Amino acid sequence: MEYTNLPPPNARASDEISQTNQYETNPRAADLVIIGGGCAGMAAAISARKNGIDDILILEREHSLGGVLRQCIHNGFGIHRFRSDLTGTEYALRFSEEVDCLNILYYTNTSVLSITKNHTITAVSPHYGVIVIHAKAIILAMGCRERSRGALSIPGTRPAGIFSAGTAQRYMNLEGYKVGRKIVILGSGDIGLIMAREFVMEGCEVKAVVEIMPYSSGLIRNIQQCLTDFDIPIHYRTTVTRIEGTDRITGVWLSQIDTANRPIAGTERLIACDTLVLSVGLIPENELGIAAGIELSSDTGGAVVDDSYQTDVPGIFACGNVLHVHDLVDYVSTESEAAGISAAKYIQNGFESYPVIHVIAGLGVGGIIPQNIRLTKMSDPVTLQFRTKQRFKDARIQISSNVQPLLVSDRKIITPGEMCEITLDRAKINSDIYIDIFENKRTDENNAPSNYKFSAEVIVS
Amino acid sequence: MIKDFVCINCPLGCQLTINYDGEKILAVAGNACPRGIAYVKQEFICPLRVLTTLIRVKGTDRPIGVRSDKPIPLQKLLICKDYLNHVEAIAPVQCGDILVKNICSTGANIVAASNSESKTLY
Repeated sequence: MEYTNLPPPNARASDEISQTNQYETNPRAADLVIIGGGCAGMAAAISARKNGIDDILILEREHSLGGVLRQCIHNGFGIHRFRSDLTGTEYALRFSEEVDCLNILYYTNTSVLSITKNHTITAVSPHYGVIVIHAKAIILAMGCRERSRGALSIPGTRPAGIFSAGTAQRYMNLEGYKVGRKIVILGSGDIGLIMAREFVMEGCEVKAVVEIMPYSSGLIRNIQQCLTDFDIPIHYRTTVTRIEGTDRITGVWLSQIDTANRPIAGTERLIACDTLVLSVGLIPENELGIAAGIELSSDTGGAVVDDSYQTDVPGIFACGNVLHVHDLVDYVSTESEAAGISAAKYIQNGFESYPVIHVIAGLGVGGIIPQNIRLTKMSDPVTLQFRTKQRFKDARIQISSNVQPLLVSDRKIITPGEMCEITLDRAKINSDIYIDIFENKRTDENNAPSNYKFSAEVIVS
Repeated sequence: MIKDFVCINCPLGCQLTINYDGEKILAVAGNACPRGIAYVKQEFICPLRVLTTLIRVKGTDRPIGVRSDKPIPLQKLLICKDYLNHVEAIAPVQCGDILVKNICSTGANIVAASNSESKTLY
């Protein structure tokens, strides 16, 4: 096994080691506090340390670093970053070992209660009680949580046996409990698909995967390797309309739905099951940011950031799934490293004010990161990441500014489940940028400006 | 004859189409990179998958994630899992430790994918 930084044996800082440290007075001070010790927090900490920040503290609410990766025992991680196919646990270990190797301080079992605009953090831990920390900079790396049954409002009783996919994953992989025997999965997000395969491996019967959309919100390869490989049926444009059972769930009613998302009469059928698993999307976990008054985007659910991942509050940065939900952890690591570098620069140089331009979504384009771009003299490229609101076939992504196309990119297929990434030359950016998507890409290049104008008018109105 | 595949090498999930005659692949279309061709050639003869699952650890109350160190035939996944249901690792286990050699004669070893935890910490 190859590591980027090979740790010496037994270098893992145990809780005891990290608890005998210089932070013994209350309130304390730190250069950089990172909230969340998952993949985003660890990558941000490592990159800040490598960019000259010594006084870093990671606050993690679980008993060890790693975040959601600790429960991801499946493979498919690290293909971009390490050019090898790792499990989530192996991917997390590479980072947590590097955190230990670089002697970055972290508190585990520590929950952050609040942060403020002037960088005061209040946290609690069983070991220290209430901790108050004044930080020069803060990186928000809290990740996301799952959408729940309440958010879906499915009628019926409230029996045991209804889990979100990540909770079921945690029970099975971390705590060693099988959640049920006959399982229906609602939603075809990646965690649900991965869990379908794991349930089969653990001897459960997956009765069906039910998806309200006409396509899966998960990756195509997961449909293949988690469902098709194991002959698990997936029903599109179908949903759960009722839950049966009093103590434990005994079955669910499925109905097909029409184009207005209403159940079609006569298509109801009862499927007997003892477990319903929900895999219906993720929401950035931003309660701390909201309470601190950080501006959030309604499209991404995360903070509004500039191209250095700084929020509208100077010195508070955000990265990873708390900013927007990513498809791949490899991209989370890259983004978090950039946020770590920005935080290091902020600590070393103070706040640097630049004029900013905005990135504006055209029709069919969902949340974009970053929402603002600083007009700096730097030469590094700017990467725009966004999701579409619907599925496009033979689509052309057009980035334009001042009614001039800056860049076009043709894609055979774009789905909301897949993040689009476009890299722009910073030197070309001088005014607001529009992102548009056109279906059935035009072959006549001369049409581009007029068509673009039409789209721009729609945006302005 | 025509057959469709989905490449599982990376998140792109290229939809591959092959034209074949008997057991011979005549043409491959739809791949964005050379890995797609290698994948579909293997997939056509015998699909291979990496096994990732859990096994018990003696001396702890938590399972540990394990993986095969190379892909194994798809139809042997559940056979290997049945075998692993009767295997218990002994704590402490370090990530990368070989727990089962040449599982079910596939030529692949089962290795630990994380470090075992010695006690309940929640």
